[in-house]
Amino acid sequence: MFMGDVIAIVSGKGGVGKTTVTGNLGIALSELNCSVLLIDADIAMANLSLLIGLKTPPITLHDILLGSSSVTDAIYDGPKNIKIIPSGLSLSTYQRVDSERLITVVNELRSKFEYILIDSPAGIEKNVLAAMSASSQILLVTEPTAPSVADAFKAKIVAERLNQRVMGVIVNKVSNVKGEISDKEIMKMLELPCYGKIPYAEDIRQSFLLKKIKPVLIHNANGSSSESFRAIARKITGKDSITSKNKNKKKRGFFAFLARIFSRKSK
Amino acid sequence: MFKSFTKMITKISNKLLNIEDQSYDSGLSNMMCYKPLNLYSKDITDFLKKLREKHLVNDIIITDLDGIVIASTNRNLKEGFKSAAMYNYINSEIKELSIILIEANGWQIIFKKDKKVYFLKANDRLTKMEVLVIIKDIENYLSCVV
Repeated sequence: MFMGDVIAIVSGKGGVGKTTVTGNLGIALSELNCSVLLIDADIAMANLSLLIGLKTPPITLHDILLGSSSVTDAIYDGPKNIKIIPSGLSLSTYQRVDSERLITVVNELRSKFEYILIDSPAGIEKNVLAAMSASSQILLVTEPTAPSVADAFKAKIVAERLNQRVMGVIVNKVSNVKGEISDKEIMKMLELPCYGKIPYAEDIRQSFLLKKIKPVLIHNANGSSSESFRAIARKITGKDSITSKNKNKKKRGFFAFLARIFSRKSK
Repeated sequence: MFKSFTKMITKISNKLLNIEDQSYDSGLSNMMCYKPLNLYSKDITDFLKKLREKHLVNDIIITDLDGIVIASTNRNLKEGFKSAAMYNYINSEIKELSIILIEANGWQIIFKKDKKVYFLKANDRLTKMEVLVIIKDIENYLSCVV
């Protein structure tokens, strides 16, 4: 019996792309032949099931946390062999659920999957603490902006208070415009390795505008955004090395500077 | 000479091309000054003070089941005795008691572990998860020291 890796996707700030990262990263891990379960722990504002394309699942995480259904009844099939436990959309059941039971739910499933990805809510409230406590590692998602990095930092402090390991950070919505904080600066500020950068790309935006919403790895499997998710998945599985502060040393000098200008202009 | 020339060209290029400006607000860098606490200390009172800081609680008192204070962050012996008495009373009425939460002048959290009563005072209600982490921190400390 093996113990699967449980990774909570946390950000602090809302709208940075936790659900997008969870869904697409799950598919990317599944493409690497890993058994993957996604849990939508955003109990109040659940929408992972929408991204994955589940149509109103009858039994959800709400029912499990209320104790009215067993864990296995709420596991559904997603694209590319991933499994998903969606959260309910009902506000009445949301108010009655005990999010702390998530820890027991995850422990029950740990031996059945290689990777369990928990899509955490925004903020640092009780539901986020439950997602963090249920996980074995935490992956922060941030935009390259000051408010987002500040909130990711707060989430990191909360994780440390719970004695949880923060494995690294993913920088999402990178568009290389003036004022954006670079991934190197983010790594320095958060004192964490960077698992990857995901571009602020049109194909990700488009994947939400379709009549049937699809993860970008399905919608545009060969695009650069999909490749970014695959690169992160390879790092998580240990097939690629992680970018750390030391390995990502910026080349100095006038010619290196010119090279950076031209490489950026060509993007 | 070459370095200062490079710096000058970099500055001019940055202005002209409107790129590479990755400076951020100083408030952000001030906030990032936080460093995780090293809880280890030979003195248990010092350890509890650090623990109080880590978990954002106001006071931590550890007593035995008779109310004798083992360690405390506020040296209030009366409060320790009161918390043990309260735990024993409620435990006699409600079996399989795990954590008592009382809202009075902030929050008071009482629980028992290994014949010791832990009494926490906090401005906000702690979740069971946070209480369990505090217990684990104390257990880890005691196992290291004893």
